[in-house]
Amino acid sequence: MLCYQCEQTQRHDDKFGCISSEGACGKDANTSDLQDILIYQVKGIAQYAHRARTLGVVDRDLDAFILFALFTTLTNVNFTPARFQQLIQEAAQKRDAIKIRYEVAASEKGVEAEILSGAAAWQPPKAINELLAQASIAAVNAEQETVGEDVIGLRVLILYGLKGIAAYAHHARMLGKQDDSVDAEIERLLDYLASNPTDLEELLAQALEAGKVNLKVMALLDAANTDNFGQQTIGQARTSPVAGKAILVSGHDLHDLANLLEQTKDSGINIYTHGEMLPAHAYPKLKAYAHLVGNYGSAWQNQQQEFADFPGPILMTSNCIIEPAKNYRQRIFTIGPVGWPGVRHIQNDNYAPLIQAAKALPGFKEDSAEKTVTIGFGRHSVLGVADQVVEAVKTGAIKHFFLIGGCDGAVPGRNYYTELADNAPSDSVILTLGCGKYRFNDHEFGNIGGIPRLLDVGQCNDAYSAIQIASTLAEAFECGVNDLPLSLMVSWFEQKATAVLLSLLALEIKGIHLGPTLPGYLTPNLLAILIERFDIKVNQTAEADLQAALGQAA
Amino acid sequence: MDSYQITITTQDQQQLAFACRGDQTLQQGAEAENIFLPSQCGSGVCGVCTVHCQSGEFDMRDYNSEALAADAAEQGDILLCSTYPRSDLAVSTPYSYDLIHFESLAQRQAEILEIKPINDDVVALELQLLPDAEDMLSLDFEAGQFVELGIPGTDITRPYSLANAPNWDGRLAFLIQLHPQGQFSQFLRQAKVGQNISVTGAQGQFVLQESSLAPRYFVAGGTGLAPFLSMLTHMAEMMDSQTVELFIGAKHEKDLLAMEQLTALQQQLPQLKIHRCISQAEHTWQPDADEWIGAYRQSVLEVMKQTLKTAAEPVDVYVCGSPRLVNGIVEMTHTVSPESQLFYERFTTA
Ligand code: SF4
Ligand code: SF4
Ligand code: FES
Repeated sequence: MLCYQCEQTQRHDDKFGCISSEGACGKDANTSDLQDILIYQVKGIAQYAHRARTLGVVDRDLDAFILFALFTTLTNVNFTPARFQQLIQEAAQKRDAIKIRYEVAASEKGVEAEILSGAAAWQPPKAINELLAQASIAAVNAEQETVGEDVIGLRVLILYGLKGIAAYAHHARMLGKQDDSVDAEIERLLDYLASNPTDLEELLAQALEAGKVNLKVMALLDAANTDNFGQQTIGQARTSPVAGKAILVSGHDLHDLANLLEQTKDSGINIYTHGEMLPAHAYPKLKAYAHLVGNYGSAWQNQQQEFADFPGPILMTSNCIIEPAKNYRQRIFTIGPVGWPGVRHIQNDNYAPLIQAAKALPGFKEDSAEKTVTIGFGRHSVLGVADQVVEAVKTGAIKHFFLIGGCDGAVPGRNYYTELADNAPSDSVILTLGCGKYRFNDHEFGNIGGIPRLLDVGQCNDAYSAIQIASTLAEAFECGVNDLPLSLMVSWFEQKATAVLLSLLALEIKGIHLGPTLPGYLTPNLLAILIERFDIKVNQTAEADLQAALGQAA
Repeated sequence: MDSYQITITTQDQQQLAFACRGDQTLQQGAEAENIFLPSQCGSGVCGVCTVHCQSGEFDMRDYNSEALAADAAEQGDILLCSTYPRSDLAVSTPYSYDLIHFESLAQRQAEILEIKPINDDVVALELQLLPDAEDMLSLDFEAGQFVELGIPGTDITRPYSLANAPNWDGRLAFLIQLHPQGQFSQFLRQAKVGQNISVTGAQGQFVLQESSLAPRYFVAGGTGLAPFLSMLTHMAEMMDSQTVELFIGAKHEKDLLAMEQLTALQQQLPQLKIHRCISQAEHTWQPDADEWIGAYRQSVLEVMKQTLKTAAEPVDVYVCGSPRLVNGIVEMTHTVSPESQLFYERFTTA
């Protein structure tokens, strides 16, 4: 196996990558190799889908399959090798089907169908040992010897960005929002990757194109969330348990949460959000369920402790799942793209087994003292007070904005973000996104003229909201986003953060701080290019970066 | 008495350590520190507690060669329940960290729901757990594990594999072989529906290798079918599509157990193949070829030998039954299919 898609990838001297029998996340070598093969096949499918589309063939089920397949390979999503074995056979059938549709459409239109080779023609063997024996054709660093590591680095930058985009697009699709032009663009980029491109300039330009599609996808997801659940409103989410039987929902999929809320509404079972599900409490239509009682626990990397302590079953709707410990393995369930060997998987949105488990397990015996956290500063809320904010900036009451966005992880280096938030001057406002906020969202930040100093914009995909907020502020001040007294501190962990980063770069936002460590696939050359063109900043100490940020803005 | 440091490395490379005196077995030393390593009989007959000793001196005694073969012992395999340390030891386990328990196993009460004779020597026992102090109804177990059932009014307990899959309603099912002198057997003969008995556990390392992609061959002798019923039911619930073949060994046709249940399981697990191997089948025995994939007038050992010889790829072999059956398969896999992985549980008479 070779995988270096996330921030916790193993490091051997100067080399990055999980290469032994198991990755740092717990993904075993077979699963990793099968995931690579699936990605390879998805490129092959896209080669045909992209060409078929130019002939007027649109297959939305196939588009959905591409997104789903990519999603299963994100960090901390699916660890079940048998699932990938099935997906690989399914992918081969789907590829054969779209190939035929393409050829038929071509002959109907009187054009000559291209004969494709490589991924588009590859047939997976049925026996598992023969399948695994072919994994090298699909390795992320295939061809590295001939094309060099810079080319590979940019190829995977695009691929990993596409994985993040696919995750967002899948979430939006589940909520009924889909856009053919987005699917077309994702397939075009996959087709581009299938052509084994080597031109660095072109690769970089295509990476920014991926960033642009992601903007569209985040807008889709934003619309999906708002249309289904209403606009986020500012309010309190309870963070301490109440007496009663309980189910904990983790991951990011609000559609799954909504289904569960509906199916449990008369069951007397309380539903708790975990991790990135927190923003659910800000959406009116979700909040309306009285049994959505609160948020339990913190960011994903603490789940083994938190899930073990939770007295009910747990539902994992997307990343980030880590190996379920023995003491809760029997009561954790997965759904959608997620999977862990031997863990129960919810099929067809039927939550009956989960509900049955909740009834059999103890639940919380008593109410604990009420604790809450303020949430819901989606763009509608923040822009609702835009005048006040602009005014506060003009009078000098607010001098600086920090956007601390992205993921959290287990390494001690992530304390950087806590230090940053805690030491940000009292005339600055901090916007948060993603699960990184759990490190400090229970600290006291106070407010500036009624505007809270810590505003949680939502999940990492709500980066879209943050971008809207920044653009509105820029308009109010008649300047560009880069001229705002705004520092972007992006804490990346997995591939959705990669997609968001590409979007920010596509918007020509400069001076982003990227940390806690840099992606393993960014070679010194590539980093030099990013620094030169986008003024990307590598994390120093929190103190130094804070000073630099404030000094620059003055 | 001297005390030694025992360091354990699990299959997934996690480490733990405990102190053990020279007059304690490694198992006793570990349990004294509330570390529960997989074991069953505690007396050197079942082989469940086999681990590998990487370095150090020890004294292993009072064990049965059926539990640990001489050549395995020569390679450094030891039985935790029969080994006394004579120096610090470094030991590696063939199982992962999450199969180790760190507290005493909970004892629960359960009500007898049904005692159903299946044939002359086997009964199907069904229990309903009573909620524990935390109001928990179900038992936390993995398909393939066993619990200790206690005889009311005594300290006597006996290990039995669960024959049903993990569930939330607290139902526990068993297939129990009756032995003329067995104490639990004697208890069962006069036990009544509605009576309460104790259930301790679950434990055991005979569980599915969920992340292995190899085909699964289940080999069952007698009531050794129980853990496979549990695993197959669990697989059906999980819609697990892994290749799986069940080889049932019996002397006579009438000794076949749970056939109806297996037929039902075949509906839910279309890939499941069942082979009946009847060593002393009646001449009149005419297996219906449509209903069953395989029926043989041969012992299961003979059938397995043929099967393993012709297997196209390495397989995961799971065996549960008498020591004779298990040892036969262990030896056979070494010679016929060394690449295959082997998992086993020996049933001993009690
Ligand atoms: S996802 Fe991250 S931790 Fe897991 S194998 Fe890949 S690089 Fe390693
Ligand atoms: S924000 Fe990123 S790291 Fe955090 S839970 Fe979501 S996917 Fe995982
Ligand atoms: S527990 Fe050691 S041989 Fe049975």
